[in-house]
Amino acid sequence: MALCRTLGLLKPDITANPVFLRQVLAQIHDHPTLGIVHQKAVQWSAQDAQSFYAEHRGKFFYQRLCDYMTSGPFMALILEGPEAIRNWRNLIGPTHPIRARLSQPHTLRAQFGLTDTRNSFHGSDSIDTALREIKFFFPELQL
Amino acid sequence: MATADRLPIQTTRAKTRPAQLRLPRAIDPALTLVAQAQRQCLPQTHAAVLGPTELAWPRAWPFPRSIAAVAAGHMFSMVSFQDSDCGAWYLAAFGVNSSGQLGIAVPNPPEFSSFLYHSQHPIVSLACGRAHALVLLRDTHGSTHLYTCGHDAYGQLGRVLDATPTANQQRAFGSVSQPVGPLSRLRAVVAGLDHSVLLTTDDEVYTMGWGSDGQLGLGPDFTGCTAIPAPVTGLGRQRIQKVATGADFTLVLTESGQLYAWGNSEYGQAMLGHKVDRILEPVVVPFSHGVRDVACGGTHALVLTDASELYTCGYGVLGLGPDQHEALQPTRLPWPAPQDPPTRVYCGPDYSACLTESGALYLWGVNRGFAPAPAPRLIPYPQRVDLHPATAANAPVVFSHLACGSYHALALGSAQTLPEDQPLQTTAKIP
Repeated sequence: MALCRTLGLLKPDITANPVFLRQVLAQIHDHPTLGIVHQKAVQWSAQDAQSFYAEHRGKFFYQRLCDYMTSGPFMALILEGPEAIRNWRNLIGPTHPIRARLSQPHTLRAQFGLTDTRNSFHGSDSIDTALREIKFFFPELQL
Repeated sequence: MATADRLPIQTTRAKTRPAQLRLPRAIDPALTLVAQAQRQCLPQTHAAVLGPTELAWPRAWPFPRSIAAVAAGHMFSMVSFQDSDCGAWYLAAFGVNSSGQLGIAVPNPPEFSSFLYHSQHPIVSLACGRAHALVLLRDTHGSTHLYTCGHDAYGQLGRVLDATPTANQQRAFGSVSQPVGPLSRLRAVVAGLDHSVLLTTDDEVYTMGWGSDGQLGLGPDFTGCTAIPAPVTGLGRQRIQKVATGADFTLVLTESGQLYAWGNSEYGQAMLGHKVDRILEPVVVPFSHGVRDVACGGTHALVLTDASELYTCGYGVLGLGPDQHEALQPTRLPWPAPQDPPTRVYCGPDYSACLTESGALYLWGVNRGFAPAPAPRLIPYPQRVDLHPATAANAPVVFSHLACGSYHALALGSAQTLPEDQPLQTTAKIP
């Protein structure tokens, strides 16, 4: 199986909480195939958030998503491993932590996500998206 | 994110004040740091604890005390108490301090910290949100002073800013100054995850902080944030009995037993009978029973009627059994102890609780360590939680108040067979 890369975000609420951040990084470290190959701290302006989430403009959650993502620094990760895109999304779990808490309690969102807005994690959803998002956060890297 | 109303004062025998408390560090003229403890005593309650545990106070703080208010946020807590010997007021703040939510902005703080402040005035109300806190003082003239600290990216501290905050929006204690009039006559403060709600003595409600889900209730055109406390209109100029707020929605209970709601109701938690992305101004909740108490969770609400019946609404482990996780209409919750009816209700984001006539504590929902090990992860029906303090193994604690945080709760109570002047505090915490 070929190695592949994906982009993961540890959103501001996780990055601001030293206890959760340590526990999340430990669970990533313990994953059998996923590894963090690059990471950086990011602080978004409103424009950064609007540009990254342009596809959601007009949806009712667009503003709260942008507010949330600019509320403090967060961490961008490049994760590598076989099936990295799928494995990272499986590790973080479904979009809504509220439902995940009942249906998939071992996922990161179920354990650490506070609400559906404050869902604490992001993962690219396809190879194309992963490439684009990695380039967005790590423009200095030769891919 | 509940906060406490004024609680019954309990008294203890006087002891000598320790030397450690004579090292004041000025935070503000009204609040002075007098002690600090790291990785000892109070923070232990934030380590992995399965089952309710008696809260240990730092050895540096041994003076007798009567607790006035307790509040629990997202992994941090506040307790206000009075030195029952000399009458001095104190505030203990402990837990995560990454945004200065314990009142002091510290670069790279340890995972858990603990601070003790001396307060110039009585502390009448406390509230803890996701990463911010509100402390309400009342001076000798009866005027109130609101102090806030912690995360401020949304304006939830109500402080108009003159400088860019630090990377984590850390803010130490500071006073909220605008608008001056209403803030001098506050009755209670409550906090959602990222917004704050203030209730005045003349039944006005003010909000500040994050408003993109309608959390502030400021009208159909407002989905922004505000750092200036703004009045909520449309509450019918009625006497208000209680303001409750959860993650992102608010319920107001009037003296006449009517309920108003605003904010996020994506799971139907605002009890309107259907899901609404966001309710931008107060709406009347169509609930046909007289209401005695109400509490807001994250995606559910809990109501106690005049007939001592519990109703729940929204999504989660609602107490309606292992298979029903959703109720768009307020649904009556079967009560397991008819001889001991509930008298007050409380909610965490994904769990619920109530106290009963006899002082028993019942909890249900996602088990945040409330039931001793081995315990199920989800508690589908109201379950009684008993605590027997080490000092009196056969004396169950009679509970008088509860503060629900996102991952922990603080309960206030006293051991039944002990003399009344020995208060106890208990806490529960997830593993």
